[in-house]
Amino acid sequence: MADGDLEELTRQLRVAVARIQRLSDDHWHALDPTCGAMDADAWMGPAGRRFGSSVRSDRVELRGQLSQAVRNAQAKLAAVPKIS
Amino acid sequence: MSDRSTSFVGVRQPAFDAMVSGHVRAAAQIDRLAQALWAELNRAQLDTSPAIRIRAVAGRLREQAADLQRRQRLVREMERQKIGFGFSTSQGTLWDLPDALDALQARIDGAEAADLAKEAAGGDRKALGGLTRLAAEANNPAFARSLLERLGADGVITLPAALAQRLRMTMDARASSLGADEAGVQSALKMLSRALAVGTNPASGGYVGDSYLNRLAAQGRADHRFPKGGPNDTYNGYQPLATLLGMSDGRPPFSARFMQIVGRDMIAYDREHRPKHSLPRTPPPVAFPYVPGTPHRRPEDASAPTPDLTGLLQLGWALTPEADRPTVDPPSHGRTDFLNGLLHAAAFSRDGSQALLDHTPSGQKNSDLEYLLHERRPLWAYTDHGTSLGQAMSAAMSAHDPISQKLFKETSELLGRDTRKYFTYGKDHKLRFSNVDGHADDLSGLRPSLGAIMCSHLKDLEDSLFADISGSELPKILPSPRDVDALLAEAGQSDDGFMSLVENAIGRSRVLLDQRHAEGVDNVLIAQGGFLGHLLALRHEALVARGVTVDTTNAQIKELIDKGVGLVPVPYAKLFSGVPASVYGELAGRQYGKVGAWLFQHMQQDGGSAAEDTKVATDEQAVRKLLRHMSLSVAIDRFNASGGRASGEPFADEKGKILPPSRWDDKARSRFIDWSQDKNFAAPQMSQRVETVIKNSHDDAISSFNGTDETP
Repeated sequence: MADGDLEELTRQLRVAVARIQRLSDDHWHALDPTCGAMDADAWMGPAGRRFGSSVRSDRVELRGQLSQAVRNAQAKLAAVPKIS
Repeated sequence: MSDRSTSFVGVRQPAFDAMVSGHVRAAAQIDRLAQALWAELNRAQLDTSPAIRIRAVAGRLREQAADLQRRQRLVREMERQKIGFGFSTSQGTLWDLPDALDALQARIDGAEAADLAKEAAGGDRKALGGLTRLAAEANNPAFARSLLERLGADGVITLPAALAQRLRMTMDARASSLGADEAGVQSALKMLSRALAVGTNPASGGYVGDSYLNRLAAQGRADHRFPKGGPNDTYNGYQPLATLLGMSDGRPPFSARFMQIVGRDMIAYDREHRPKHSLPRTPPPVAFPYVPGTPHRRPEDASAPTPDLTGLLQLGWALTPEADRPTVDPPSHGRTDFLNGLLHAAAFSRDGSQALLDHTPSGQKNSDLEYLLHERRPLWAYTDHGTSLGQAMSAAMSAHDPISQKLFKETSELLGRDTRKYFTYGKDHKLRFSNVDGHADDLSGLRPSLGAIMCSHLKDLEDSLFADISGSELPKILPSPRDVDALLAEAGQSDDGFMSLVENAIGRSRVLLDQRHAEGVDNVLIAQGGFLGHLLALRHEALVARGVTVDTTNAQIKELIDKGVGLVPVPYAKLFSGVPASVYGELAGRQYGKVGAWLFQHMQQDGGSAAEDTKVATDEQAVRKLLRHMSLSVAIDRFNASGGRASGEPFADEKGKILPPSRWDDKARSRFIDWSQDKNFAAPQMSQRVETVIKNSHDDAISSFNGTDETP
């Protein structure tokens, strides 16, 4: 691969990592208001408890997938051969 | 708040509203995130599965958001309609809400139904029509509770009265809308009746609480005024309540709790207000015909029973669902009795009827059952002659739990004593009938139910009548032989009561003979033969004493016996399909009637060929022939079952099995007699003891009426 191509790939991946990191940062707390309201007993009773635990586990899932996406992108960037 | 959050069900405002809008926004954001992330990953040729997993999260959040919004709309509706109460805390207002969405909707609908009903009672026909839309929800506990709470205990009383008065006014005006109004009011009251049954049941999940029931009883005792005024326009709260109870279809039945708190108080109210003077022999015709605009609390004299709304406002059939109308014309000159509605409702469950009838109020010497059956006897002649009382009794007494047994025993004593007032023993071994106080038939409507109750206690009756023969002592819980005979005479005066007793007794005889043939059937034959003897004798003598000379029911039964009803083998497997054969041994109660009914029906359809000997003349002959036939039929079944063969005989099939005697012709019959002598076939003989019991049953039964009743 020519140095120019490597350079372009590295640049694109750096942009992608930054964008994905940005998406992750922007949405990391998206479910915090709901979880916070449920912690403060906005909705009580069995159905409310089911809702609360479902939202909390979805927050875990959301954060796990966001981290995964960022890690994947960083790993790919790291794997690009350095220009000597 | 954490301790509260474990038991409290509901939302906190305004935190809940804020959470809903926040969650809706979050769901949309994460949906967009999933799309954007997928695009980034794809462009960078990275694994897209994180974006796909986040899309799944977004899908769940969207569904949750929709659910939350539905819930929020219902909460706002409740706030708008002021359903339920929010209570304030330092961290907002708590609203108690049902957990399930449909229950939340039902609560709103229940409150709406209450508001529509009030508007309908004020004359709004559109509201009346709107109610029919909600009527189907009356079974829903959340709906029922909400409706009852919104109306209040007083509303449950005043609403039916106001609707009924509306209907009366439409009738007076001869308005063309009468048909629609009738249907609308009926539907509204049926809905309220059902909701009342649901909401006053502690087990329903929509229970309004004991205090509500206590308020209902207090409102029931109170006087109220019709909304459209006029002089003499008061009514008692139990009158409309009786109308509601009378509209119950038992789905679901009123609870034992309702009967304990409200039902018993209705009887107590009746006891307090019963006529002070002895009642006339026959109820007078209605003294005051209906005059528009002047409802009367008691439309006639003070001796008549307290009417429900139909009697009070002379509404004819207008409030009686079509299926509940036994005749074309309203019975009893349009008279009604508020206790009939109560008893009608109680009759739908054993719990409810027992709670009502197994009770002696504090301060009273006599039980409510004694009051209803004995002291109140003449009052039943004004309306249904004890039909609904009998139905409630039948529900309360037809099982074999201790309360059923106790109430049945008490009934036998009360009705036994009263029956012996009218039937006495004659020296010629005949019954004498004298209507000493003119009230002999006041409870004629109760007789079919009495027969049904006795049908479910056949073993008790036999044990009572024949305990001395089998040498055992009569348990205290069983009716005395004397009272059993009196009950047979009383119930036997009704064709239905008599017929069902005979049918059940014959079915039971056959079942017991089939079950017990191995252990010897002498005791079975004594009890069955003796009981049938008493039953037939008392029917006959009671009718003759009353001057009835032609008894077609008795003739029908004799004809069935002559035709050979006792010779027909019972196809248990077919009759009780799906029940394993071992369980036939446990046949009891209503199942005897099923066997008897099958036998009767079979004989009436297939006729039978038994023209074998002369027709029976007396009841004793009939009983003897029936049991002989049954014994023979059972013996043949045993012969076949044990592998016996009579090959080539005209009374056997091609395999040598003996055919049921009901299918023999004359040739087969005479050949069978020779054959059984040749082969020593043990055709069962009636022992001398059985013969004696049957022979004496008539005189035994009649002599039960000898002597006087000691006054208690």
